[in-house]
Amino acid sequence: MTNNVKIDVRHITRVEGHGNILVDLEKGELKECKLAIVEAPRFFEAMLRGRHYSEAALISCRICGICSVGHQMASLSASEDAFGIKISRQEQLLRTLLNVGEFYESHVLHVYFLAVPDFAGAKSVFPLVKTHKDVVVRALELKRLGHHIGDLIAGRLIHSVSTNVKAMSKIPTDDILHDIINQLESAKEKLKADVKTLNTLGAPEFERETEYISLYKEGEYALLWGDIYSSDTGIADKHDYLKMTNEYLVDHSTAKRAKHNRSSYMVGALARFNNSHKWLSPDAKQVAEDLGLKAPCYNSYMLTHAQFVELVHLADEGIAAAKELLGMNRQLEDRSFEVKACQGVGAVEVPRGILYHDYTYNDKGYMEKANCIIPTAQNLSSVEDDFRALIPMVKDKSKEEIQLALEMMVRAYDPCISCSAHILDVEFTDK
Amino acid sequence: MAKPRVAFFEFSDCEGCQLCALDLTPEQLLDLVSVVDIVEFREAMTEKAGALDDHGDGTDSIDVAFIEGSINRESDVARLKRIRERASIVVALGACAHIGGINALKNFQSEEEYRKAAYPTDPYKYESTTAKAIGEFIKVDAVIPGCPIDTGEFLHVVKDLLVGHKPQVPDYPVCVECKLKENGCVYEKGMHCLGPVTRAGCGARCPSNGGYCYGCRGLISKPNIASQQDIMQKYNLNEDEMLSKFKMFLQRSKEVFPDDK
Amino acid sequence: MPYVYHIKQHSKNRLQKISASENLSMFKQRRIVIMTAETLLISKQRLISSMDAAKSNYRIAALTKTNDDRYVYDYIGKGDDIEFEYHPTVIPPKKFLFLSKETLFEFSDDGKIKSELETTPTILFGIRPCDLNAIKILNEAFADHHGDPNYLARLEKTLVIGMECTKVCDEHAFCYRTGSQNAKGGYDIMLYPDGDNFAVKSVTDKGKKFVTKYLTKHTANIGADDFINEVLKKKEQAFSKEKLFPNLDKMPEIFAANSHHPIWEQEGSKCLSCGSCIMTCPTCYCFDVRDEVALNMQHGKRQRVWDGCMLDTFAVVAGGANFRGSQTDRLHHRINRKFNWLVHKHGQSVCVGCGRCVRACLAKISPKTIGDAILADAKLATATVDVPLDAHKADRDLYLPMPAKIVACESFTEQEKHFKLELENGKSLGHDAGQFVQISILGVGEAPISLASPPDNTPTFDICVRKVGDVTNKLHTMNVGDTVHVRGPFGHGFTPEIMEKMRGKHLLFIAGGIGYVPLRSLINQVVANQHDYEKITILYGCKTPSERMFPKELSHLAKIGGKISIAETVDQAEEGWTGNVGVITTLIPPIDLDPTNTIAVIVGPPIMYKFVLKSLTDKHITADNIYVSLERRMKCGVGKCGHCQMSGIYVCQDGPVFKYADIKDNEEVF
Repeated sequence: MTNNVKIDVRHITRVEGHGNILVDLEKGELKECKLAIVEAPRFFEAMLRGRHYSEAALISCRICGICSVGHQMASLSASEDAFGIKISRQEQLLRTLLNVGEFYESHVLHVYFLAVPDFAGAKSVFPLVKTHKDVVVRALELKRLGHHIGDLIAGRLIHSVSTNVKAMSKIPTDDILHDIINQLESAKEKLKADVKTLNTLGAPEFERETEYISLYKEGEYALLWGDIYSSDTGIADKHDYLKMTNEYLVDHSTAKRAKHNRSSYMVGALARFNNSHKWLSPDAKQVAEDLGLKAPCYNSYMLTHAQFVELVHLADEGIAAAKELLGMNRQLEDRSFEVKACQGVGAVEVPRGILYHDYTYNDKGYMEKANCIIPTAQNLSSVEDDFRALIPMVKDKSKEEIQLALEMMVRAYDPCISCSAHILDVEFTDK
Repeated sequence: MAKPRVAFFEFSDCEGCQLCALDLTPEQLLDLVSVVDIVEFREAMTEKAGALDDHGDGTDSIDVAFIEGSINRESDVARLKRIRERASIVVALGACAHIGGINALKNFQSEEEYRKAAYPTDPYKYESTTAKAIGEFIKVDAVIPGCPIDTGEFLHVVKDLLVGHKPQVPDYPVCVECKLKENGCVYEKGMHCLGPVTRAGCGARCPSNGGYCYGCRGLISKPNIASQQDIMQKYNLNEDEMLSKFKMFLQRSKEVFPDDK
Repeated sequence: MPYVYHIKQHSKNRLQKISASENLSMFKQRRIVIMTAETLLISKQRLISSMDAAKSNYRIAALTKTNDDRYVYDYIGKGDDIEFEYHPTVIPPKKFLFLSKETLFEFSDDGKIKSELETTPTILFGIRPCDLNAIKILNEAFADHHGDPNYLARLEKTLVIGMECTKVCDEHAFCYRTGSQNAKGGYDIMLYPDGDNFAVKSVTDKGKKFVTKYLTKHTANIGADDFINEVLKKKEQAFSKEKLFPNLDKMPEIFAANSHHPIWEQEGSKCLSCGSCIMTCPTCYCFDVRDEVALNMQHGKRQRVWDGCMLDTFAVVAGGANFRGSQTDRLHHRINRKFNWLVHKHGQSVCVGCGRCVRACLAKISPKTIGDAILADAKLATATVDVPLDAHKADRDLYLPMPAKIVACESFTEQEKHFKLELENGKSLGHDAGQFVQISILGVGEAPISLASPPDNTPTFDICVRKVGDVTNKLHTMNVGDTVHVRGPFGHGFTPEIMEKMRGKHLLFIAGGIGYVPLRSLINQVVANQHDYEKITILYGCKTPSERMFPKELSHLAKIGGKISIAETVDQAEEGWTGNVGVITTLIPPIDLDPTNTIAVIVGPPIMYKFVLKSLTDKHITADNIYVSLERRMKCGVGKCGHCQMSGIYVCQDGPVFKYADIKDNEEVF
């Protein structure tokens, strides 16, 4: 077995956006270990400047196709926090449904299309059409469901249409809500059918305990509202988000990173599961048990499994929201409010973890300053810390196996590089 | 007949259009893979077509390249041209590739301004230039407009290419489809809409869902901008507010911003 | 007086009679009391429950309110969903008869074609007079010359229940200006509302049967006539302040005389070409035809979708020329269809004043404004286009193409390829020289192609195709043994009457470029019968020698000599070319001809006509002795889709061969 291994993955595949892995093992010793982001910077904070509050969500959602709804939710929440708007119960429920749509699209894409091929030893989902057709068909139907809910609730899922500060501009009919309930019921059945598949595929062994940060609300599996919670230090107010993220520079890379209580922390489905698991729906808890996922779980590869559990939970949450809406006298709400110079923060859970938008408006409602902190940015140091923990376990394997183990680790985190690119430093790597 | 070899590439964008292209029913996906060979698609698969080049792309020739994203830095131009050389047909996938997309919004600010807004401590660290459409660098054979694209339209273009049609996207405004949806006019609801000058094909999705058109599909080939501006002014927009509406997606449109870089 | 205006579709004879009568202007309301009509009274509640009962046998479309408070015509779930008070809709009820998108036929990759026509019985309930007039006009348009199978099948299955308006619906409606506030037809039953009670009058057998089956048991007929009287009196009062357009009865003549009125440019320049007017118009019936294949490439369908003349690309031909390139030209075209060219055909204004286009137009362009501006001017044109309605029953196969095999082909140039096709049914096409066929490549589409061979009794015929669009590009890749699909022959070619007129004359053929192809059928026909003619002169001009069509035939013609002479020229010589160089008009002056005994036939690119026509005029050949063949965009080939229309005439139906005298004053021709 060679002691010198140099790994240079240009554009990790099956992730959202462009990133490279650089690892240099000299005589078995780790010289270099980087996850470099090579996505072109896009300057969203600049694009948002000078735009009207009514356009903030439209522009910021275009940071990312897969987290589009999440950015909208964070954006609307930041604007509403700024203007002092409290949204109605109807609006909460509609956003919950739309968010269910996004988690379906994103989690299903990650679990079935990006991660499962790894566990199944395939290079993409396409060959699985032949070997695991039933699974692929279910996966497509589940992913389609995410788009379908987005279409019905907000005109479309990716860069949705009907979302506005204060209230949606579209109200679903009874038929639509019944349709969503039926489809989510059947989604749960499909998911249950794949518990076995996921168990058969398993997950690589790995463990590294770390700090887990997520949104938190007593009594709820918090996704759209709540405080910030750290498994190390407990609850913090969302306006203190900068104290939780503490962006810093490191020597070995020029990338901006985030840390809180330790060298890194983790956000995303596993962090949410570890922090809020007791408020999962009973069926979701059962599926977690069937998958052997127990809180606290320190195996980053199990992030995929946590996402799967969340899909079951979200089906239940979506069904409950739709049922409550059915019992309401739904109507288009007045969207006017008093515009003033102000500042506000939105903190929401998106599929990849906690997302912050922080806006400052002038007295005409035009944006003066914007800041967005993206979950993938927060996770990058955690990925590298996992690399460091993983490499001693695999260093005697072939270069290809090491590379695959590293790539799988990156993919397990389900990184969203398009999102992170505008905030992270960009490193150009030389061969 | 050999199946056409199809590949997907992306530059600066959100990858939402690729997600829309994948938003298929099981039947559609099975049909699609029965008529085309997807040989490169970084977001969904690890394989590449042929040996890797120094951009991390494959090197084999391909029949159709769907290119997503706008060009935001000089170093991407070479990669774009390499893809053009490999592909018989290049399709611009989505607004970023087609008209620069939302990325071009930064072009209205001076370089220093936009750099400082996003990276206050070290604004000039990263490479970035004016955001441009791919058609400003290479020949584009067809476009699938929209931010994001419409899955149905994507499949339409695929089918057009398969039967040997020149892919056609509508060259009439969104109003046509909006009227077919029997929507009341957005202007009557107190909003402003670029539907009368924006290329249809989206099924008037925004006006049909309580929104308004902000031009993500680009202008029709002969827009009556003067009349559109008259209407917006008639509905109480001042000159700046009106231009601001066009800025969202139409920075690269010479009909509206003739003097811009 | 309780009149119901029920005017039957004009037969040819009837129409001729009407126009022959000076006293009876077409706008004079001809009041025909329907003596046999069932009239009865019914309450709203009973009417609703009758509709609920009818639902077991019909689907019912009516005005209804959507969840988001819009008023639309839609299929209703129950009688209570019907909105009895009229609120203008964006899209008129024509959408139930002429669907915004419908399948003409389905095909599979083995070339099999199947079509299905509408079979579901449908009621259109509560349609107002403006829209009833529009339905009457569409009924006539789709039956004119060729019976449109899809529309007419749907019409046959549809029962139209009209409802009188008792007030002007809003400030945009102007039905009273076009004389459309009373329905002149288009319905089976009319409802006369007064509060929660209705009088019902059925005017067709279909209507009477329906009334007998579903309404009579709830009703009384005593006093129904008086009730109707009262309703109509109220209506008359409500509309009494409103006026007809000035000079409404001379509308076509006045519009024909005012093509250069400043109002066109004034309104046209505002137009966004957004298509809102044509999408919302109840009497627009233009369409586009597109093939849609399934993703697995194994089957597909040919569909027609609404299209309209206000859209920029509507009149663009395959070669790229746009025959109505400006908004003003397009506005002029649309309004003239409504107020001029089609008026005689339908015996009423084709704009029914429903106001939908006005409500939909952001630039606030209104036919009312244009009508007022132009009709106030009493300047009259001497001639207007007057093409009589010629109603036909549904032609089941109108849009269904026949398979034909390629039995020979030859490429003339990179751009042009010649095909000999043979109909698989073994029958002869039976065409005249100058006619065209619609060639289909299933999945790609259909294109009009001139016939290049003379009429004969064999199942084979020739076409010559220039690569300009999808269909022709695809054709170029096809070879002997391949199958294409054909509809036709279509159009007005060199009919036996024209051939008779040519007998004994000096025939002067002038062809430019690919224009030789449509002329070839005629040239070959007359050359084969040369003893019938005094002289045959062929002038042929091309850009370059290598672009000459049928080069072997041309040299053969040159060798025949005698009464046949041929002169050629090219714009640019190439190596080996020893002939003339120069534009085609240079060939005309040297010809020795007697203008009184010469007939000229011109076919070429649009730019050529102007110059050639001038040269012929210099030779004193009159417009009566000149024939031209024109090219326009075509989708249907049978006078329906509207694409090829120029000032009231359809190139596909009235042409492509025209006597120059018939079209020289038509402003949309050259």
